[in-house]
Amino acid sequence: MTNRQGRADFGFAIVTLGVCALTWREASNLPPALFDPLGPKTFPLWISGLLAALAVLILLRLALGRSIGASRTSLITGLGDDPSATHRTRPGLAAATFLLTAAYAAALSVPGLRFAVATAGYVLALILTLGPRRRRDVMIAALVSVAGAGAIDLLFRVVFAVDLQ
Amino acid sequence: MTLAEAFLGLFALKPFLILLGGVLMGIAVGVLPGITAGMLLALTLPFTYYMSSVNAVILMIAMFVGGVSGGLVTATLMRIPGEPNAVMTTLDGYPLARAGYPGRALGLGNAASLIGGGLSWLVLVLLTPPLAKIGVAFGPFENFALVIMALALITSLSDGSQLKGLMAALLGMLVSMPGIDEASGMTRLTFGFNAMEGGLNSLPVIIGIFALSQVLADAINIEQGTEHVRARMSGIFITLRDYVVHGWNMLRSSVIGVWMGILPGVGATIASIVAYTAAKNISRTPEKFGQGSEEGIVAAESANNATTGGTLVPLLALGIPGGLTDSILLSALMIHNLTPGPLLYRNHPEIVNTIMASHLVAHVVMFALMTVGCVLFARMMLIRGHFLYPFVLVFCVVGAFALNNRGFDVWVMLAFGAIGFGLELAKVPLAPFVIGLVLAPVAETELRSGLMATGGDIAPLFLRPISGTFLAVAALALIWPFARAAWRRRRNVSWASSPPPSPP
Repeated sequence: MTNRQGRADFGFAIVTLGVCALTWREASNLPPALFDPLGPKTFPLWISGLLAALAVLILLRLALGRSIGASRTSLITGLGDDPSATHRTRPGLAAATFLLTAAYAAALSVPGLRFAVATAGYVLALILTLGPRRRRDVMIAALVSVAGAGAIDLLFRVVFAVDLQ
Repeated sequence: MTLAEAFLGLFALKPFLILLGGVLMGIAVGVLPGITAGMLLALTLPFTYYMSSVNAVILMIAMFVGGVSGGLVTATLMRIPGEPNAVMTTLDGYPLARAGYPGRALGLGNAASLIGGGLSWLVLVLLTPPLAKIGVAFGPFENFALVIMALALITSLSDGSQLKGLMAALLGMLVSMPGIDEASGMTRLTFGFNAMEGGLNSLPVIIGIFALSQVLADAINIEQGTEHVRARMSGIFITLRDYVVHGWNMLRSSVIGVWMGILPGVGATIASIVAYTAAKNISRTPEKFGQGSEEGIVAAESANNATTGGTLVPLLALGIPGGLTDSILLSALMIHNLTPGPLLYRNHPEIVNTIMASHLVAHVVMFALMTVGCVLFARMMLIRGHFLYPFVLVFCVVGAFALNNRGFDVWVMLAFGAIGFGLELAKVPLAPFVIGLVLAPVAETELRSGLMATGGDIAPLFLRPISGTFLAVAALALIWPFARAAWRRRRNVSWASSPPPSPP
């Protein structure tokens, strides 16, 4: 087990304990069951209790210097690989992508801002964040974002009849 | 509707176009590195709400089959598994393509995919009805115990860390609980937020975990350069003799794939690894594996496609998803108020038969499209990520919003994208999380129904033969890996402490 993995396991256990504590407190305040033997609070209490016990087990194992193990199969491709040999990794781009997407989600709730306009702006910003920014690239990105946003707007409004306002 | 009628129904214009479009989209995401079939299914899920149930399942199955198969192209021509399950194909597909036989490598993989898919369809059709008949006899306690057994098997089979697998499953269960408790009508775990009264819908959670976190990972690796071999049609049509030569390998690997598919949580990636290893161990020329062995390509591709039918067996017969994509299919059915399991067979035979018919027809369509269009698909893999990811994320945002027209769901999707990304970085398996999320409401409802029926007596859960057996298997599955590890440690200690042999 690497130090990095140990820190990640420690963080996972602590966050899990926090989630369990919150859930336990919230579930404890629920009124008792009226119609069935378990009621709405029992399952959350059981699950959070069991989860907390397992998180404590992880902390104990870490304290004893024992390995926790790590998942070898990945749902997300690319994160489990060691890319250092082939290319530079850009964690900042992941953060920027996330923040831009959050900003886009917030922009969609701004009254009066049309979906197609917000989408074109978001797509352009993200293409330029992730890709090259030479003059020619900016022109292509602008074209792609306007055409793409228009097509998506049409698809959602006409084909799926989603109310995007 | 019978199975024959379901087959006929697929050849009407609209269903066939949906199937064709689904397979095409599935292959396309399989071809595009960093975009997975799970992501496509999750993103399409909200929009199936606007379709009829039959058309929705046709689309989902077609995308599922196309996605599993499309990974072959990038694995062979770029040495990048377009889908995680194509990882073993890269070992021999790419060397064979580099040696000047890209068409041959694609042709063999494609044929093996068809045979694997076809054989798994046969198992699906033959095994599901009797299993569903057994499932009809299950009461609430049996159903609860079945869910617990499935979760235990999934966590015990999550390789690397069973402890983390178990915690991931429990976290997933916890996430499903906020909102209105259906049995009592009371709201719970809202933490004082009005928006939480509607609960954390599983769909935005799944989109966040499958799609957003994947794009974030792709953004980190955006500078990854790739070499590729140019696709050629020559050699793509393999002969009858090739089927005869590789027939036994295809059959064996398909059986492995089907079995691995039926087991909850194992999935196509592990199936292809096991089939590849088995083929290498049995081969007369094991030294060729990893250097362009045709047997290696055939084993990996037969097995990963064979899991598609296997995973559908427990889903259709018992309502238990065998894997991640099944959990999305389960959600798709639930959106249409269809509960997978034995009663689906009785109440909605048209859905079950359409799923079965679509599975086979999608494989045939996939085979035809991959044979004719491999050069075109190969060009798609050159689309640059920075043009692709923004549009994927737009679909994530709109998809999360579209199901309930709730802005809150978009924030849930964003939050779980970040959570999924964090869990993956901490090497916590996400598969048990998603399956726990989907199965927890079933487990809770069934247990509470059972207890209401028995007036609060829990003893029948353990004493009834079927539920008792399921719980025993669950306990064994949870305890066995720890017991085995402890036994190995003891054996190693006793070997280390035994005196060295005396010199002659």
